[in-house]
Amino acid sequence: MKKIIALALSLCLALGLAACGSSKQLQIGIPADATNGARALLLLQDLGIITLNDGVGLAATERDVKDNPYNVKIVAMEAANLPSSLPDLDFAVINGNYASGAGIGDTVLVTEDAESVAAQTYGNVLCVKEGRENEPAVQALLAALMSEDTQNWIADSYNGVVMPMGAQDLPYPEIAEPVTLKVGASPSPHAEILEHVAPILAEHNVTLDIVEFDDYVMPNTGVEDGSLDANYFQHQPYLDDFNAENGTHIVSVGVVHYEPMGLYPGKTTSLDVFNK
Amino acid sequence: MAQFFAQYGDLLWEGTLETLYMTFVPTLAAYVIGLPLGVLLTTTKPGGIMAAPTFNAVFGWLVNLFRSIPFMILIFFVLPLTRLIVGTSIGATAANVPLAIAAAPFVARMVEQSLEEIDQGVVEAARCMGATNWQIITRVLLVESVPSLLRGLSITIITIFGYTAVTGAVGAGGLGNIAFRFGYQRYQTDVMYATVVLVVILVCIIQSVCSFLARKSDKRNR
Repeated sequence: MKKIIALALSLCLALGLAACGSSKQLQIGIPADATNGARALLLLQDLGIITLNDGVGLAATERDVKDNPYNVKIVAMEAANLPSSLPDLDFAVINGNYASGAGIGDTVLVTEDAESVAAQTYGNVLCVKEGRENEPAVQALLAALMSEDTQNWIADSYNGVVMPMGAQDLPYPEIAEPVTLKVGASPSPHAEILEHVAPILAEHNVTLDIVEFDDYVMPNTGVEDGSLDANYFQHQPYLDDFNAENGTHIVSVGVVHYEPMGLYPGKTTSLDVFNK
Repeated sequence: MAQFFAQYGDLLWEGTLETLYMTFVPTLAAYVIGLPLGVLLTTTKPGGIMAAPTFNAVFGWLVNLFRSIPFMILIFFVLPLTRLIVGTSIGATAANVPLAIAAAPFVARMVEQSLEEIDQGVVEAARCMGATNWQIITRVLLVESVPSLLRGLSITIITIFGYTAVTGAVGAGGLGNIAFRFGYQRYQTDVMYATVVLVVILVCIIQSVCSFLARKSDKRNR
């Protein structure tokens, strides 16, 4: 009996020591969920910290790390818990909304840029029913959203949590008769961005009627059945999924903004450690 | 099959080690804390050898309080304490702290239940022979209840084993986390099945060993 207890105790100790063995590595926290984890790894790859297996893209996990020149340890954990774990990590890749919620939004070292796979994939799109893409009022709305004024306003208003895709100088079509455009949107930031462009559109004879939705189904069914002219709340993968599931024919007219992940400092405050 | 193990063998092996580490270390810690608590819970009961009803009521209430905090919440709730004790809030070592805190009151109740089963006559007999409270606890209560304590141990270990599935939230890894992240979130059903098989095997081993020891230690079987 005593021998068995001694055996069990030494097993515990051995396991404990085995777990303590690995330290002194730079630890980088990433979200544990599939999409955010992959985005985080892609950001680390863009920064030259790691290299991932070819072509893994947004399916990447920490098991896809091919080259790890700085011998960093990737710690996948609950996304919302990353800000409070920063004191124990060297860096963490955190979604803008969580960083902002934790009040560390302004400490960000670097964020995904508009060219990154994640921004391109998960950029939020302005959508209409198929066939209405070229209506003058829709084109005017897109021009207003992509204008330098609006894109700069997005960059300045959200402390890095919402980022513009980049200004495009699109033409405003001539609209003779006043038109009302009914657009479904999520309250923040989408409806706020639309509020910002409403006065610009008014100058071009388009009245914007913004309808706020808290769910992600109604704005699409509204566009499909014509009770809404457009919507602005979703990213392309969600739209593709929705169309496939519901047999709807909604198309994207343009990508307006993205909500980036950023690298935040923990125990280590500077990216200089990666310049060896 | 060979290809599967080549691809995921190291992941599953690492997960198994992490799960065992997060199961046995907290179990040990939980018994260090929970065993005295359980003894106190029993002995201070009205009619117990050290009856103190008010203390017992307050104490029982405290134990219930800690048992009622959902484990997922407890992990985040005790983060500062975890950092204080083990110096970090991430990884398997950090997960041991909330696991032990969650399991200790559970152990206290398991021990209480085991000690309650002892025939009051045996305690009375010891008392008549002039045994002190300490002697009654160490020579009668804890000795007489060993088979039952061992059965409680198997329940405790398997409960903690189950808790480890959510410690992935603090980057602790483990089999449950692998099943969730790779099996469920990424639709790799083969990984899911492999982890489930591993978990079932481990639980069976734990249960068999504890049952065997309980049977061996039961004097009615000698």
